Amino acid sequence: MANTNNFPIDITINILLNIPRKSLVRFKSVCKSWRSLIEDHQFTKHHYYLNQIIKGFKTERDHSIDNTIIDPPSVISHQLALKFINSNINGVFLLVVPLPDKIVFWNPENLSESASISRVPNTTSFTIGEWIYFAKFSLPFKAKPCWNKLDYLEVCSMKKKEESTHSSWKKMLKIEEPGPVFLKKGNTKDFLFFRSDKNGSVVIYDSKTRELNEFADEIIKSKRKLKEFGIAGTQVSLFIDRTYAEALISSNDDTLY
Amino acid sequence: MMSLGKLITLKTNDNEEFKLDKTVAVKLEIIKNIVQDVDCTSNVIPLPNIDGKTMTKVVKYWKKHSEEGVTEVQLKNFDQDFLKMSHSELHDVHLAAKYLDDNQLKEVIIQEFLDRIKGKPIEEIREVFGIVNDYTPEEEEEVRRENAWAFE
Repeated sequence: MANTNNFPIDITINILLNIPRKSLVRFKSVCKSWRSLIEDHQFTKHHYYLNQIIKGFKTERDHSIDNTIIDPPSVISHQLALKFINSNINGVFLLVVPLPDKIVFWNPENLSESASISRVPNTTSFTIGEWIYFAKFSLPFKAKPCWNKLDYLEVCSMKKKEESTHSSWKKMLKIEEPGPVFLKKGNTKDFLFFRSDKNGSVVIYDSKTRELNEFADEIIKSKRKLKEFGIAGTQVSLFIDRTYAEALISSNDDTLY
Repeated sequence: MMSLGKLITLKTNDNEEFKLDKTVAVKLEIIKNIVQDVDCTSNVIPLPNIDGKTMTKVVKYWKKHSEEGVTEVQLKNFDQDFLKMSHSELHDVHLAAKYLDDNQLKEVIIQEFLDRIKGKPIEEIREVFGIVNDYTPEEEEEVRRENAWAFE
């Protein structure tokens, strides 16, 4: 795309992706290259999804999983899969298969290493939301994405309470927890995972040491830890962080043209 | 005051040197990778894409944001001051942040750009981005007419 101006196109795209639809239409008259960008099919699509996500985040509970962030794609197309691969992100593409007892995580990156997930103690059952987060932060991501490996990985079998088929991610991701769930991502990417189940046991996952510890009687200790992290009260936060979400839906910039 | 961290030297393309505490510097992916490969504490990491003026700003930002005991309010005020720069300076800092792969800084700057163009007339938006209008008056009129609803 010809750009007569010295402002880098990728920053422009980044900025324009964040602008409401109506303003975008108005911005078509800024210059020709903006117009062709804004009218570009790929761009429009990115813009739509991104704004859906942002809208999801802006609702009352920030970063909550309770809101449908984007409608679940009815079909995971090959192209969509490639997008995730291209995005080269430290994340797991979540594919929730509407089966009563299975969740499948599909990680475009090196799958052989994802065995670390088995370290999870099987004494506690995790909710889907926790699994997403856990998978995201516990799997090793150093490996370069591989274009041909479109396998997927079954990480866990879970007992679902009653209902079988869900129609949307919203339902799938909803947390039905007896106790509080605490998830917190630290500044430096070290990650602690707190959860108390019915029996009052607490699981702490430390992504730095990659250790997952279960404490039966250490609630007080862990509460103190929670305080250190500035978490008070019951909250569920940041299941899919924004950068991650953006990366999820944005493909390699080259495809914009 | 004692400092446990080692110093890392970053050198910009106009030969300005910045000494940074290692604990601050390794927060940046790109620097972390270099540091992991070689012991850089005695060496200098060149930053061929960044000039001293811009790097001064970036370093100022990093230092403030890694200060111990700094409060949210202080950071907010700092950011507000920090972002008071010209469009082109802001653009330079964004490029630097991009090169250094500093997502936080990148996001802050994109937000600032967004704030600067929000609800602004087209002419001012061109100014922010340094864009030369390449429409003829007739063409521009036509584009505006086609999308008139957005101008209401």
